[in-house]
Amino acid sequence: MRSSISHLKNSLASGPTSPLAIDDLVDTGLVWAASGRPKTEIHFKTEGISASTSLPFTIPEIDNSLPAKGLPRGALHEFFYHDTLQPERRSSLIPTLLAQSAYNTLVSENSWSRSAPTRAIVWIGKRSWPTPYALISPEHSYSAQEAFLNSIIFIDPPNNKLTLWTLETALRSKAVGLVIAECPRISLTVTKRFELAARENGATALLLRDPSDLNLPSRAFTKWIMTPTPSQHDAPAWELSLTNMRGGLQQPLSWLIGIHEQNSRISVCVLPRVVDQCHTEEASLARFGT
Amino acid sequence: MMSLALAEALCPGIYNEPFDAIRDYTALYTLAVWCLRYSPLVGLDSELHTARGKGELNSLSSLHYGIIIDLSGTERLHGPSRNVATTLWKLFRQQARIAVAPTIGSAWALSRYAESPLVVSLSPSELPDALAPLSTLALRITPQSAAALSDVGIDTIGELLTLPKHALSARFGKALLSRLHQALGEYEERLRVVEPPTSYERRKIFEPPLIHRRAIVVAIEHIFKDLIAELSARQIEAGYFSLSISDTAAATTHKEFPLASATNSMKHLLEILEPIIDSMRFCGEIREIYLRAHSLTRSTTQQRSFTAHQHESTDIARSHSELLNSVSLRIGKDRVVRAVVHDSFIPERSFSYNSITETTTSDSSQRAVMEPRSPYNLRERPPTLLATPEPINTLAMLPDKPPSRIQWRGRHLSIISGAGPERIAPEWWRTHLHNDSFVGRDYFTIQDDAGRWLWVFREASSQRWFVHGVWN
Repeated sequence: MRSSISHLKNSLASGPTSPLAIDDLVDTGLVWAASGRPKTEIHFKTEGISASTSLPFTIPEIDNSLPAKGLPRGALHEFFYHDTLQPERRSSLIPTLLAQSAYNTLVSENSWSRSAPTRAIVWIGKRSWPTPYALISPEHSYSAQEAFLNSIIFIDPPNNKLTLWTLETALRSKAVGLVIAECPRISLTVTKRFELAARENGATALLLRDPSDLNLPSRAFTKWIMTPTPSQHDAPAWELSLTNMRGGLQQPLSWLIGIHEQNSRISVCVLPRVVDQCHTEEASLARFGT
Repeated sequence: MMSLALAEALCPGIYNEPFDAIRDYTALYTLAVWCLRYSPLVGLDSELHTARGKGELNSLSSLHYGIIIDLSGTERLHGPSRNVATTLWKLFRQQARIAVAPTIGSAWALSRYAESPLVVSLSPSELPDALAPLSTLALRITPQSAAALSDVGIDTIGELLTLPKHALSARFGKALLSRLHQALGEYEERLRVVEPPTSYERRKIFEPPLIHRRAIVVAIEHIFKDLIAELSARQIEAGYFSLSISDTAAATTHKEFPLASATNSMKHLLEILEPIIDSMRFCGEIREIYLRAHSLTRSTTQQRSFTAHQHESTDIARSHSELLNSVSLRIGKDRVVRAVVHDSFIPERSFSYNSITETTTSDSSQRAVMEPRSPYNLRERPPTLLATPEPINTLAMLPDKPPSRIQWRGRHLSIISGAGPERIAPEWWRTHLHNDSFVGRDYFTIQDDAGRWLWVFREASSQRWFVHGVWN
């Protein structure tokens, strides 16, 4: 290193009479030529995003419009669902999709040792639990269904204080890959704490929050809103909107998702459409009555 | 003997279970260990021991399933041996056959072949008279030897005793003579004693009693540390701990510390226990603290691999059990569950949440032959099922149209589309198990004008409507 620097100094000292050729620099090793030299792999990281470190929705239309091709792992995500008739309920459709996606990702990380334990999925709060048969899909084998169900730990804490404690304990554990939690009202400080815990262990947290908390400040990486929408098909449909994303969102994204039959397989799919920003915000605010 | 099919025909729903010799043996062993409270020397039949060693328990006669208690020298504690015998007989609800006799052989014979289920014969001089009316089988000889004896007209021990002994061994083999001698106490017979399980416990008595809260907490933590250190040194893992704290007023507080997975990792356990002990309430002056480890298993030590990956996977397994332990200790074991899917068409019976520690793989072999567990897709079954179906008022056309208006939770919803009915009938093939109140239901999938999809049903008998599930 020292010799290369002295070489550089010498070449600089020799003055304008001998202009510094790029080849000299290449020889000193201070600059790598565009070709013929070993290149180090460079990951452009924007807050830890890269395709391999995200949790896809497994809906191509949604995944492709997100920079990370899914929800970035090791971060906090908030999910709001509002139904005036049952305010205590949280949505279970998107969490179910993400749980399946997380399980596949976590298993594939273990691919070269099948017996190795996979990181678990923790689902906190009884009112957000889906029925187990909604979690498994009929086309999978029994053992696959059983393995998936067994990888989910359902926890039902008796009060809000213990919910927060459980949530943090789960996020701090090395054995957890995804935490889905029915989340009481929390302050910005608490979300910071969760975010740190999640980032430290690479666990993803999906907080199912009360719609009245929509405008509270938080450290969530993304914020999602889902509302039921009358559908023309003979199947349920919802409007799913991404309202906030760290690093900026050009304009809020919104999709019409529904349960549809594709290639003889029932799945959640999407009709993509980009809505005008103020329209969406107004619409979503109006919908929540805030 | 009756065949199972005949028995089931005579008495429908009769409970039956296949014979499992190993389980019987284990249960008997546990019972023998329990009997250690009457005498330090308690054993099982030597034939039973031998058969267990050879793995021939299935061919052993049920007469050999017995417990032998050596009562000599226990009079000071329990009074005369008759008392122990009657106590035990009452404890077993007078179903057991018990004999007290000077030798193992005679006690065996009297307990199995005497007419009365409770025989106490104490002096060796009475022994020949007591044994005389019994069948020669009572001497623990093979059925073949007994048949050979009965061929020459000898059916009872009394008849056998009249014969010259040296001739017996020549004609019927050595075993008969030695059994006879053992029964009469002329030959020695060894008792194979059962060993009491080692218990891991700590007891601390404080004189003068502890008053300060801090001192109590420190004492409990110290006791825990001490016990866990011993467990880890012996490579034993504990499933749960029970703690009893007695105060000077002789009131005792019990607390159990259930762990989701057995562990002997000291650091981890103390981390979990500290906040719980801290939050415990003590009243009065604490005189005694008693801690015991239960559900002990030998820990499997895992060699750490050189490769980083396996390193990581042992780490994951460890932190997995640590997470389960700390959560279940803090918020209760029954609140940490996993989902299990059952074969049932009735929605609320098609799944359950079981404790995370229970293994559920037992009936998966039966499942494999049945139809898929989840024959439904998201469009047919809602992802969310209400805890209990909620009654609604509806406006629906009979006989089988979906409702056009419903009133649910105090709100009127107008229904814009609907599908159905899908009839779910009672599962007649298992009604004798549940004996339940489930009557048929007609399920409809309906959508209100806000785009909310509900799963509602009409009960077949009462024609009442309920909301059962929501797509959300």
